[in-house]
Amino acid sequence: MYRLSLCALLLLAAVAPAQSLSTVNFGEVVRGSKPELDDLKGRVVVIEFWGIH
Amino acid sequence: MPHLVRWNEELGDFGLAMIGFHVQDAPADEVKMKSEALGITFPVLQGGDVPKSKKEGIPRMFVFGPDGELLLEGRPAEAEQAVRTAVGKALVKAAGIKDPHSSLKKIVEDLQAGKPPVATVAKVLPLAKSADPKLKEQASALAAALQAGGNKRLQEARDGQKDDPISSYDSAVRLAANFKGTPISQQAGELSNKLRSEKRVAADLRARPMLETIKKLDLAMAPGLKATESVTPEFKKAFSAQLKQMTNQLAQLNRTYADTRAAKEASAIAAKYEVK
Repeated sequence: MYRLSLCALLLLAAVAPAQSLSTVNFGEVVRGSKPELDDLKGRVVVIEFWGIH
Repeated sequence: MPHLVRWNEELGDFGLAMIGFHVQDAPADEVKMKSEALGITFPVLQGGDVPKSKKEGIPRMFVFGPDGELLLEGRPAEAEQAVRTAVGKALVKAAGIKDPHSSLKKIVEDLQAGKPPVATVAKVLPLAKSADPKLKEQASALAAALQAGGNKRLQEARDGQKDDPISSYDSAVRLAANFKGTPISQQAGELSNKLRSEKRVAADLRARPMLETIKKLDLAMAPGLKATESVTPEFKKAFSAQLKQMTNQLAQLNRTYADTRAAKEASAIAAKYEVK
C-alpha cells in the first residue's frame, strides 16, 4: 500500500506541469501595455502581488 | 513598490522585466493613479494570477528565469539576491560563455554572483579589442549581451520623441548614466540634450522641483495616513502644516505648469490627502 501511494505521488509529480511563466494569467491591463510571452522570452521576469490599500 | 521602481531603473536595460499584479479590490482608475504617483513605468495588471502560488499575503514576489521557469516565490527582501543573480547569469548565458578567458573570469563571476551589470560594460568594451582571439570573441559577445537592452531602449527613445518626449528624455538620461563610457551613453546624452529644449520637456523639468516638494510631504505624512487609514479630522489636525504646504505647492504647480506630467503626478499624490 505504501509503495503504491509512493508510486502515485511520484507519477503525479512527473505529470504535473512545473510552475512556469506560460501558466500565468496576466488579467487586465491597468497601466502600460499587456506583457506578451514572446517579448518576455530570454528575460528575467519579476511579478509582484501588491495592493494600494 | 519603491524597490521595484529602483530595480527596474537599475536592471531594466540589462534583461529584467518587471510586472505589478494588483490583487486588492479597487477601481482600475484608482490603481492607475496610485501607480503613477509611485513613479511606476512598468506594466500594472489586475485580475491575474500565478497558478499554485502560496497565497501568503502581500507583497509577494515571483521570479522567473529566462527560460520561463519559476526560480523563487517569496517576500521582496528574500527575492532581491535571486533577481540580481538571475539577471547576471542570463547575461553570461546570452553571451554563450562557458569557459571564460582568464582576463574575463572575474567579470563573469561577479555578474553570476549578482554584482551590478551597470559597472561592467565599460570594463568589457576595451577587452573586445584584444589581440587574443578567445578574449576578443568572448568580450565582444558579453559586450553585445550587456548593451542589447540599452540599444533597444535608445531606439525606443528616439522613436517616441515626438509623441512622448518626456518619457524619451527620461530614458535617455537613464541610459547615459547606466552605460557610461560606451557609445550608448554618448548617443543618449546627445538625445537628452536635444530634448531638454523641447517645449513639453522644458516645462516638465521646471515643474519637477515642486513635485519633489510634494513627494517629500507625502513621505512625511504617509505613516500617519497608514495609521488612521483615511484623512480623519485627527489626521488633518496632526498634519495641518504639511497639508497647507501641499495645498499651496499644488496650486502653484497647477497655475504655472498645469499640463505637465509632473503636475498630474503631484495631483495623484495630493488626492490621497484630499488635497485638490
